[in-house]
This record gives sequence, C-alpha cells and structure tokens, in this order.
Amino acid sequence: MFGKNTWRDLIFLLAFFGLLWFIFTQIKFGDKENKKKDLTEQDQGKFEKLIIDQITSSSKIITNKVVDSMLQVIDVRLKENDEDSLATYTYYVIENSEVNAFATLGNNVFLFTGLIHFAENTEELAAVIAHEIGHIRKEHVRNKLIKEFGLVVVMAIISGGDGVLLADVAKVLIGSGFDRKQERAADEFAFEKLQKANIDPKNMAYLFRKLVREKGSMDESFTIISSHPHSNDRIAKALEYKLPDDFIAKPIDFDLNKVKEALNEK
Amino acid sequence: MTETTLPQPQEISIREKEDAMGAYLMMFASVAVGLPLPIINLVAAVVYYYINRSKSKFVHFHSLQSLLSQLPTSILNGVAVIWTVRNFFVYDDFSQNYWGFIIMVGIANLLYFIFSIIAAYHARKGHFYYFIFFGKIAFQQVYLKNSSQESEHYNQPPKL
Repeated sequence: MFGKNTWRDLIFLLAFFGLLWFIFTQIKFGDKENKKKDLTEQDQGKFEKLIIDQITSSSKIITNKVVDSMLQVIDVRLKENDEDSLATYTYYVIENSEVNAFATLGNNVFLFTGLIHFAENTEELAAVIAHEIGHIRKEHVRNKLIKEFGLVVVMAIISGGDGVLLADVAKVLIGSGFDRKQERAADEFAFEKLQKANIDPKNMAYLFRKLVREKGSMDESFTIISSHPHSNDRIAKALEYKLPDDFIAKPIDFDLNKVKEALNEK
Repeated sequence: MTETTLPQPQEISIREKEDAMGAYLMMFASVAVGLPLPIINLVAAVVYYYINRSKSKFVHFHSLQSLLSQLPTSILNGVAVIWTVRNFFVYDDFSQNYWGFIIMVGIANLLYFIFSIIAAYHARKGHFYYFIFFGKIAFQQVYLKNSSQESEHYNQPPKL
C-alpha cells in the first residue's frame, strides 16, 4: 500500500511526537518542589507555632477528660498495623457548631464540637481524623499556604508574626478546602489507614452522605466535604473501596454519646 | 511504477494556484471558528476537498494533502479538549501525562501552521510541496491511483 519512504515517514512522525510527549511528561511543571525546599523545618516549626497560637487564642478550645480519652482511643486505634505509628498527633476540639475539621502545619488536627455532635459513632469521627492526617502526611497544608500566600509572605509572617496576616492564614486553614485532587488523595490515605485499623472506610461515606443530605444547602461552609459535584464521587469511592476478603471491622470501644453528653454539660 | 509527468508552474493557471493555496489558507479561517471544537475544521477541510478535487490534479493534490495533515491534528486537538473537559468536570487529574500531551499537541499545531503557510506559498507559486508522509500519500492517491485508472480502457467496441 505504502512505499518504503512513506512507512519511514510515518514511523518518524509517530516516534517524533511520541518522544515529545514523553520528554514533556518528564518535566515537572510549576515550582512546587523548589518552593517546598525553601521552607526549612525550622521555618515550618515557627510557622506551626504561630498558627496554633492564633487559632487557640481566637477560638474556644475544649479541654475535657472524656473528649481527650476518646481522641486518645481513636489515635491509638488509627496507629494499629500502621508504619505511621511513631508519628505524634495533637488533637484540639474547638467549640463551634459547624460540622468541620481541619489540619494545620505540623501534626495538628482540629475538630469542631459540631462535628462530634453530628457524627453517629466514633468510627465516623475516626474516618474524618484519618482524612485530616492524610492532608498532613501528603503535605497539603504546607503547599496550600504557600500557594495561597506565596513564599515571600509566608517567610514575612514567620519572621514578623504579623497578627492580621496570621488571622488570614487561620481563616484559610479553617474555611477553605483543598483542591479535588488533594481531597481524593487524603481520602485514599484515610481508606488505607482505616482498613489497617480494622475500621470500615464506609463510615466516611455514611458521615458525608448525612452531611450532604442534611446540610447540603450550606455546603460551602463545610470544608471537609467541599466542592459539591465532587462529594457524591467521594462518597462512592468510600463505598467502593475494595477491602480484603479477611477484613473484619472491629468497633472502637468508646461510646460517642458519653462525649456528646460531656460536651453538653460543658 | 510508471513515470508520472507533473505540470510545471508555467502550465498551471492562476485560478488553480489560488484554489490550491486556498486549501491551506482556508484552514486558518476554520481554526479561528472551531478552536474549541476541532471537528469543525475537519468538516470544512472535507467540504473544501470534495468541492475542489475535480478541478485539476494540482488542486486535488494540495486539497488532499491539506485534508490529510488536518486529520491527525484534529484528532490530537479533540483528545486534548476531551481530556481537559474531563479534568475540569469529572476527574481533577492534571497529571504530568496530561501536561506533556497538551504541550505536544501545541507543538503539533504550531508545526502544522508553519508548514501550511509554507505549502500555501508554494501552491500559489505553482510548486508541488510535499509534507512529510502526508505529501507522499496525497501524491499517491491523486497521481498514481488515477493514472492507473485512466489506463484502463473503459469504452470498448461491442463483441461482434
């Protein structure tokens, strides 16, 4: 059909454009990686402390033995069979009726009392915590802050501790979600962590489903399940997550109602 | 393979040269309209080809070369558009593969534009200008296939 030269041309074209695709696939776009390197561990430590101070001073932090024991039980359980078990996470509960949770720099996870009241059981809370740990481990928080504020501003905040900008940083951490790719990555991290801890990842779907159903109209304020067209997809992913045949879900030995009662007494 | 005699620039009428040039230039107009929908370019190219292919072999060759080179570009653009839309609305997957593909498609379009301008210039001058691969296919289709058909004796005397 084709002459020898025509075949040669075709092979050349396919190889040329295939190679172009391959070469450009290898190049890392954006300077995320470089930016990461610029923020040293020391800078991060300072920034983390400033953020924690800002959030804890502007919100009411709940200190309650029952709440703390529940978080302790969840923490221990989530570290079961996990190489992440050496990491130390600090949990804070903020008095706020919104159904929300967020992670900050370092290993800090914040939960709103609204979320604790909203959850049906401890497993659902564990699922949210696992998701937030996912954001921490995948370095989403650091990347988000650098993306949102720029490295220069972040460095200025670290060196100057500007109160107005810090309040802005806290607002971004509390009130805005991550992009869909990051949410999906944190979900996947959580599914795996939950599975290792013998907690059914479906608990995340149950909580999200209830959230969409009951609070759907106020969706924007719920950063744990932001970007609504995507929330059904996230629920589906949690439901479809393939568990090994020998998986047996073990309930977390802690009655969430006790925590709710303790919070109400407060 | 039989020797093919090609018309020389002075033997080709200005009208033919302009029609041949139009095959390439028309693409630019359709690209401007159809950028988000690459299929429009392809439809325009097919229409132009069918209108002009009967005019002369010179025009036929250039229209076909233009159409053939448009095909892979349109397919690449189509895939790029679908992939982008899918990333925006379904899966947020702006991966390295995606960006590599988009840049490759951009380069393919740029090369297509540059070579189309060069080909349009040559067509206006009455030259045969062969694109890599597509030029050979178009030439084969227009000259070699048709010349073999012409050599067949369709009109025959009745068998007495």
